[in-house]
Amino acid sequence: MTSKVKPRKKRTSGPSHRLVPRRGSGHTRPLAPGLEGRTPLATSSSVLDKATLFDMSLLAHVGDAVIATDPDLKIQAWNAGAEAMYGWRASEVVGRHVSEILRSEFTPEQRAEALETLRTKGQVRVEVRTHHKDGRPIEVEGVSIVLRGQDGEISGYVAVNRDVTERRRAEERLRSQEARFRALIEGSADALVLLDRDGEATYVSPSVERILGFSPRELERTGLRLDLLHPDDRTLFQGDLQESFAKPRQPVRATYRVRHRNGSWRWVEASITNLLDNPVVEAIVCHVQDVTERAEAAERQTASESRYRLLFDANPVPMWVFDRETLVFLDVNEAAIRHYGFSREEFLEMTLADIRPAEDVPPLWETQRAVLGGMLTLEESGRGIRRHRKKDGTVIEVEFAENPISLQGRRAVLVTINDITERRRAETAAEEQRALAEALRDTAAALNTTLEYDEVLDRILQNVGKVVEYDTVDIMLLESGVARIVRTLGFERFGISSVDAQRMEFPLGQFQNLRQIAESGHGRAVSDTIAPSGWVRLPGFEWVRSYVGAPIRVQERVIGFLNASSIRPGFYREAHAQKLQAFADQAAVALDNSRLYREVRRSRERLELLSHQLMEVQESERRSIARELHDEIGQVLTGLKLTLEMATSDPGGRTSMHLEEAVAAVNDLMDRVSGLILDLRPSMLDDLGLVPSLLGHFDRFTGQTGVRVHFEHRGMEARLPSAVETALYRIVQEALTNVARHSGVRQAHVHAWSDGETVGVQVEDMGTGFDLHGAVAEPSHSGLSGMRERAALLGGRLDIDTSPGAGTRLAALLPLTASIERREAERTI
Amino acid sequence: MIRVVLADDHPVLRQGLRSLLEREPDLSVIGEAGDGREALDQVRNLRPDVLVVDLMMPGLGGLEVVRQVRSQNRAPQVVVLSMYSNESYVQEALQAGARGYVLKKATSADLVSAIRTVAVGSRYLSPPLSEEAIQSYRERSRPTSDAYALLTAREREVLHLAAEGRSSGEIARRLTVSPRTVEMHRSNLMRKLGLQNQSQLVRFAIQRGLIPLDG
Repeated sequence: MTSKVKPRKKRTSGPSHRLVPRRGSGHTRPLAPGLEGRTPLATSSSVLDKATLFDMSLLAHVGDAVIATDPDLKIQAWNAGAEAMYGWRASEVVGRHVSEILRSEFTPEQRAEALETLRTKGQVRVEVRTHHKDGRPIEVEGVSIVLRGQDGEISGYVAVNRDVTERRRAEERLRSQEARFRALIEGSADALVLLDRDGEATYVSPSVERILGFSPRELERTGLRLDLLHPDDRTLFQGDLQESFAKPRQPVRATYRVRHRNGSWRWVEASITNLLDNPVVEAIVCHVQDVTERAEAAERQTASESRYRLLFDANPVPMWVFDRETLVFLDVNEAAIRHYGFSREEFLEMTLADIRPAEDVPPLWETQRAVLGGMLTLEESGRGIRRHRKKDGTVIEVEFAENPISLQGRRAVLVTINDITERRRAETAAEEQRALAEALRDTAAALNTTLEYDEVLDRILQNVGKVVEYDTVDIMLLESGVARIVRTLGFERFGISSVDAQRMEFPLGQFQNLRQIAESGHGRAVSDTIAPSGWVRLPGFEWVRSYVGAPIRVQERVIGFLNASSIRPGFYREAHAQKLQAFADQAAVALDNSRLYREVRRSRERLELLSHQLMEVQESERRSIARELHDEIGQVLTGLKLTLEMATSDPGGRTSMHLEEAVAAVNDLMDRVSGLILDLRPSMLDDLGLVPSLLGHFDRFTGQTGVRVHFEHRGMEARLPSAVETALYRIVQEALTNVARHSGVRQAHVHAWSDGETVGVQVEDMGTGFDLHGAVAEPSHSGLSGMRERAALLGGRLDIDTSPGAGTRLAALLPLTASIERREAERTI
Repeated sequence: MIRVVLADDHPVLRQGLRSLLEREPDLSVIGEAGDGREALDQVRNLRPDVLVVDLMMPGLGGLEVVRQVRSQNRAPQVVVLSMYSNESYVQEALQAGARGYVLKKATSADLVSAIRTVAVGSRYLSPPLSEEAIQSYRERSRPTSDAYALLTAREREVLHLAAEGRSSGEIARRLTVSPRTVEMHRSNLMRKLGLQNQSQLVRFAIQRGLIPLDG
């Protein structure tokens, strides 16, 4: 036998030899299976007959070379397989030494070792290169056994050799491929680890060092290194390994934290595939990728996610996220829940439409349809103002900001809300205030363009609409506790003429609202006249369903009212009262100005008239005096002169008689002059005061007119200011003259009284009376205006109470002190 | 001999009077004055028995002179000369302390009689004037003690109704006048009666028996 034993084991100790497919496993047929494990054949020591060879050939595989030798290794048998493999015919080789023919490349030591093994163990396996007859090498794998005779002596050897040249070549190719493969693996950033059944690393690719800092050598063959795994991940890993055992060839993917040599933790993503049943691999293949960067990024992502939650949930500003396509709420924060009153659950079942006021919903869906239909592209993010509806129905105005985000894999929009309702309200209020101020300014301008009282009244009505809307509006003036309408607008619509309205009287005692306005000095609204409010429902005024009124105040005194009415219940509120009040104050200023103007103009007119009258009176008195002086004094004087001439020139001794005539003429003159003087100016008034002067006048008056005067007085003992006495004297004188002229009766009552502060006189008759308005309209008539003027000049007043057939009562009241004078002057306004 | 001082602002009149009086043996004009002040001086210095003074004088008037003269000790009797026959003046002059009142148009004999009469402490009035007339004047010029008399018929009606507690509106309807007129009557009658308020008005009405007190 020349077979050699190859040092196989050495090769198995290479670091990657396991990656090479093991010889004799699977893809090659078993080598002489009949021989393997056989005990050495017991044959006759010298004979290897054909039968034995045949027998062995059967045992061997077709194509294998079966060679039998004698104990001296001389060929005894050479089958067809051997002929085919080596190119030698059996006839050529029988009897020749096997080494001559096979020319195997054993070293002498290998040959000796193989023989020794063969002899001691009965068989030997060899792998060796032999040569063909033509000299080309043939790689063979062979089994040799010992044949022993019955005596136990070696009778020969049989070798079954198989040509494995092709396989060797393939193996060579494979080896070079493996090198490339290994280079790829080892050059990769990812690491590859092969584990055996026990989880021990049998191969670790160099990339591991980049990932974990350990060299492959430090990790190979060191048992299951659970200690390298993060404690939290160990169970996970073992579970994954179990799973991998259970499901061969199916990769199990997982991420673990693995300790770096420097103690830090690295995130790795492992793909574990059980290829233990793969004869080529026979390992659990772990493909390991360093995902620390990614994991940390993911962790940062998670952190930012929780930051987002914090910002979102704890944000005091209402926020939500809604689905871009369905408009369904996807998330909503606490502030929004609090602000809108919906619970989170309610929110998450609603769409944006549910928080819109009904009228704002159709536009929302329209827009949405357009967006979904691709007809409209929404700005990715936006801000603006819109109206929302809370759960309780309150509509609020909000400022929103929208930002697109992705939530739960959907296109969503993050919305932040700022409720600006209050701000808007404040702005609206400011706007209203400004509008009111402008209206008032316009009103003031309009009102102040005229001083004509009637025009001012008209303009007040025309301008009320600038501050308060109304169906009707009217102005009332207040006198002695009774309000009367002086101007109306819009009443005709309700069948009430302006004339009818002006006939109505509103005693404050009966009209609680007016009284309250007058007493408080502030405007007042009766929102609904049906509701209990002290509202007096007048027949014909049932259409007034809402009312607002304001006092017209002049120097804290209420001189009238400005009233607005609406047919709509609930139309007016306190705010209207305030506005109307502001307007009424403007109106009051204008009214007061025009009233003062009117007073000034009237008194100027009266003064003009009076001075005109005075001049006329003066002129007529002068004429009268001149006439009397001429007619009476002049005539008498002429007569007196003649009488005296006669007395001096009459020699007949009738001097005495002439002088007596003269004395009589002088007495006559004195009477006439005395009367003349009294008419011009009753000096008695200066000397004796009012009552004696009046008494004197009554005497003369009765003497001249036949009208008897009944006189009563009280509190008139003290002397009065000269101007007051004169005025009262003249007023009584004038009034009595009127009685005599117009009353038709022969009696008059005159009263005078004083309480120290004021003094009054009153002249009354029970005669025909007269139409006061007619008389006043004709100011020069009856001297009424003159009397009135005298009273007014002293801060007093003159009242005349008369009507046709009802007699006449004329009373003058004058103040006696300065302060009273002023108060009384105001009273006449 | 009655010693007389003449006070008149017209020298011509004084001269006439002096010549008139000096014709009388029992009268002696011891001084003249042209105005009131001078008259007082003459009276103080000359101590006449009778002062004849014109009522109308510039400055200190005749009536004032009379008052001041009469307030002195051993005052002279005073005769007032006046062109007015009006009772008011007579009354005023007599009240001031004058004993005689003589009209200027009276005869000179009248003045002489007056001087002689007052000199013995009696009163003298020129013939058209009489004590009777003065008396009736006094009655008329005396103020009424009954304030109610001052009220007019309308005011009395208003007073009655107001005392019954009726409002101005009610009274106005009753009397078919405006409430404003009623207010005017009311304020006038309150003034005339010197009343301040409604309760005083009611009290007045009760005191006068204007409203019955039931029970």
